[in-house]
Amino acid sequence: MDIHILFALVICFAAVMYTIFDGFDLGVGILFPFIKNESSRDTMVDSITPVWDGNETWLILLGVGLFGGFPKAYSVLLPALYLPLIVMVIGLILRGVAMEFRFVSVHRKSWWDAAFSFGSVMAVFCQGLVLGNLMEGIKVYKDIAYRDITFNFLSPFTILIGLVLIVTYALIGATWLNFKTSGKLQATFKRFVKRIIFCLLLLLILVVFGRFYLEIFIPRFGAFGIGRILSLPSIVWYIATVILTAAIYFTVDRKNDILPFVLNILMTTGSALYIVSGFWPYIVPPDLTIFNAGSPAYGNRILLICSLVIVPIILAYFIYSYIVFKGKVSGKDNYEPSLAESELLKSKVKVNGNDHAGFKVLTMAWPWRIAISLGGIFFFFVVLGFFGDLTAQLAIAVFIVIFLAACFKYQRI
Amino acid sequence: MNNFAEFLSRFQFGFTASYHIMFPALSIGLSWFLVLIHGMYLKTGKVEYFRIYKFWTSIFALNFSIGVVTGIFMSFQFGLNWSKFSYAAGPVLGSIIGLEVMTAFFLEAGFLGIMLLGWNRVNKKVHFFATLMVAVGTLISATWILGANSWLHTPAGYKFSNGQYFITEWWHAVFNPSFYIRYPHMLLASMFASSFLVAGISAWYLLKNRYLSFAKTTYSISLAIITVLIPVQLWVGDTLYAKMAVYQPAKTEALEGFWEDTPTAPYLLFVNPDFKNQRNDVQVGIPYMGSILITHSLHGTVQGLKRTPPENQPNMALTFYFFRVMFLVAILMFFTALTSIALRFTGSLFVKRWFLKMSIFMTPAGVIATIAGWITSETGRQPYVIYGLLRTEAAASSLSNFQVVFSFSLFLITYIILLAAYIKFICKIVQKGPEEIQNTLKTDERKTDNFISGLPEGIKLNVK
Repeated sequence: MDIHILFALVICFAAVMYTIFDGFDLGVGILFPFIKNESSRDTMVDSITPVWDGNETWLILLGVGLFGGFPKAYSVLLPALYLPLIVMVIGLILRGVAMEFRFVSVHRKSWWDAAFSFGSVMAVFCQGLVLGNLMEGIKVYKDIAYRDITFNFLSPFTILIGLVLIVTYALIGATWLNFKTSGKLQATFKRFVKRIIFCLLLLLILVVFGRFYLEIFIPRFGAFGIGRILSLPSIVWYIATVILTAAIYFTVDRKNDILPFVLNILMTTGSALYIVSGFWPYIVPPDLTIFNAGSPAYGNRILLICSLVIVPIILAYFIYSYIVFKGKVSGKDNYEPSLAESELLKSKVKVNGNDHAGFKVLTMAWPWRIAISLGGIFFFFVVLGFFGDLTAQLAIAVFIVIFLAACFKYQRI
Repeated sequence: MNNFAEFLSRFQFGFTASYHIMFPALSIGLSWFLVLIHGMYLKTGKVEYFRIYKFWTSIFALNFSIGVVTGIFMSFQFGLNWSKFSYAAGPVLGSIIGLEVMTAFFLEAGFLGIMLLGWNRVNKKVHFFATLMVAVGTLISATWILGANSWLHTPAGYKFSNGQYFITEWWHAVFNPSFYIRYPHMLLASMFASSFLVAGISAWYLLKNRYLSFAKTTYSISLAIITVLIPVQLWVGDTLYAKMAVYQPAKTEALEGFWEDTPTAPYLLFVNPDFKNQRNDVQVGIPYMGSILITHSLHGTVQGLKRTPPENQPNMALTFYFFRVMFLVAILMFFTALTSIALRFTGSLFVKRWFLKMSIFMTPAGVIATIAGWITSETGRQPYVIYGLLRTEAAASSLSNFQVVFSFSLFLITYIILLAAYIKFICKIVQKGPEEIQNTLKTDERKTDNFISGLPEGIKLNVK
C-alpha cells in the first residue's frame, strides 16, 4: 500500500485512540462541577489518576506524527489555529497539574478543583474548534495581512462543534464513571448519562441539519461532506448513532456496568471514523491532501515500520496496566503503598543510636580536610588541564575505585 | 517579516523550554534513584528503604506530571511558532521525536501508574520491574531527544530537496557527531539535579533533627553519587567544549568573552560586550586561568569572536554569562563533593552543621546548572536554528503580534503560578516528612464506608 496512506492510517489510529481514552478522563473534568461532595470528587479523580498520562500521550503521538509524516500540513495547520491550540495546551497543563496538586493541597483544594474542570472544558472546547476548522477547511494563505486571520478560527459552525465535543466527552466520562464507581455516586452518573444523551442528540441534529439548511451553520469553505446528507456512509452513521445511543440509554440501568461504556466507545469510534473518512483524501481541506503534504522519505519509512511493530506492544502493556487497576475505585487509601504486617515483622527496624557501629572511623584534623578539598580541586585541574585525555580518564577511574572501596570499608553508602 | 512576533517567539521558546527541562532532568535522575532504592529494598528487605521509596515517589509524581504536560506544548511549539522550520526539518525531527513518543513516552506512561499507585496491586518484583521500565523510558526518551537536538547542532545523514531535509542514513542522523558527548553530559546533569535535591532535603532533616535514620541513608547515597560523578562530568564537559570548538567555533568564541585572539588569556568573569564596535567596554578576569582552562597550557591563545563575521555571531552576553553560571555552579558542586569525602571518612558527614547548611543551599544547584548549560548551548548556535543551514529568522511562522503576546503572557502567568505551587507543595511534603511505618499498616478500619470502599450496595464489609 502507498506509504502516505499507511502513515495517514497511523495518525488516524492515534486520533481515534486519543478521542476515546483522553475522552473519558477529560469527561471526568467536565462532569466535575456537577458533583459537589468532596469524597465523591476524590473518587472521580482516583478513577483516572493511574491512566490519564498514558491517554494524553496519544495526543503527543498525533502531533508528532503530523510533524514527521505531513510536515506541510503541520506547518499550515498549527499557525492558522494558533490561539485555540495555545488555549488547549494551557488547559491540558492546568488540568494535569491540578489533578496531582489537589491531593497535596489542603487550603486551596477548591481552587485546584476549579482549575481541573476549567482546564478540561477549555481543552475540549478548543479541540472542538480545531476539529470544526478542519471540517470547514483552512485556506493556505500566501500573502495576506496577519491580523486578518487571527480570529478566523471562530465561526458559528466551529463553536457548535466545540460544544458537541464537550458533550461527547462528557458522555464518555459519565459512562466511564458509571463503570468505575459504585453506590449513590454511580446512581448519579446513571442519571447523568441519560440527560447527556438528550443533549448530544439535540446538538447532533443541529449539526447535521444546520450544516445544510441553516445559514449561520454552513461551513465557510464547504469542504466537508457537502451534498452528502443522504449518501451511504452518512445514512449508516445516522442509523448506527441512533441505535447505539438508544442502547446506551437502555442498558445504563442494567447490572452490567461495562456495557454502556463499551457501547459508547463503539459509538465514538464510529463517529470518529465517519469524520475521518469524510476527509479523504484531504488532510487539511481544501488545499492539502495526504499526497501533497506528505514526506516520502527514508526516515519516515523507518518510523512507519517501527510504529507497526511498537504499537501492538504499547497496546499490550496498556491493557496490562488497565487490568492492574481493574474494578471499582475505592478511595485514595487503596493506592497508597503499604506493607503487610508479616513483612514488618520480618525486618525489625534497628533502634540503634550509633550509626557508625561496626565501622572504622578515620580521625583527621580540620586542616587536613580542607587540604583534601582544595588539593583535590587543584589536582583535578592540573591533571585535566595539562596531561591530556587518557591521564584524566585514568585519574577519574582510579579516584572512583578508591572512593567506592573506602566507602565499603569505612562507611555504609 | 514581522520582527516583534519573531523576537517574542524566541523568548517564548526559550522560556517554555527552560521551564520544561527542569522537570525531565529531575525525573531522569529521581527515577534511577528510585530504582536503586527499590533494588536495595528487594535485596535487604529493610523497611527503611520502603519509607524512602514511598516518600520520594510522592515528590517524583508531582515532578513527572508537570514534565508530561509542559512537554505536550513542546511537541506543538515547533509548528505553532516556527512553522517554516517545521516544514523544512519535519521529516527529520518528526521521525526522531515520533520514535521517542512510541518507544519512550508510552513506556513511561504505561508503567507509571503501576509504579506510583500499584504497590498494593502487584507483587514486589513486578513493581520493581515497573519502576525500572519508567526509568528506562526516561533514558530512551533522553536518547532520542538529545539525538534530535544534536542533529540541529551538527546535522548529519541527511539530504536536501524541495526546501526540506530528509534522512538518508538513519543512524548517522540520530547518532550525529555531537550526540556522543552531549548525551552523557545531559544524563550526568540530570543525575546532579536529582542528587542535589535529595541531598538538600535530607540535610534539612538532619539539621532539624528529624527522621534521622531516613535522612542519613539518603544523604549518604546522594552525596556518594555526586562524588563519583562530578569528576566524570567535568571531564565530559571539557571534552564537549573541545568538540564544540571544532563544530561551532562561534559558540566557543562567544562564551569566552574575547573579541580578539588573546594569548596568555585571563579567565573573564565580567564583560560588557559592545556588538556594534566589536569590543568589550569593560572586562575583568583572573590572569592566566583562561589559557589554562581552555587551551590547557599557560600561554595558549584563546580565539576571539571577530573570527566569525558579525552577521553570524551569537549574542555574546547571553552565551558568556550563562556559561559562567554553569561553570561556577559546577565548581561549587566539585567543592561540595570533595568536602563530603573528607567529612565522610572522618565520620562527621551528618554532624557538621555548616556543611548541612551548604547542602541545603545547593539544593537547586543541579537544576540551575542544567538550565544555564542549555541556554549557553542554544543561544551559542544562533543565528542558526539548524546549524549552518537554516537561520532562525527564516524559520518563524507568520504570526501577528497579538497572537504571540497573548500566548507568551498566558504561559508566563501559568508557568510562574505552577512553579510557585510546585515548590510550595514540595516544601509541604518535606515538612510533613516520611510517614512512620506503623501508620501505613494495612488496616480495614478506614474502609467502613461502603460508598468509599467501592463495594456494590448490599454487601457489607466485615470490620474486625
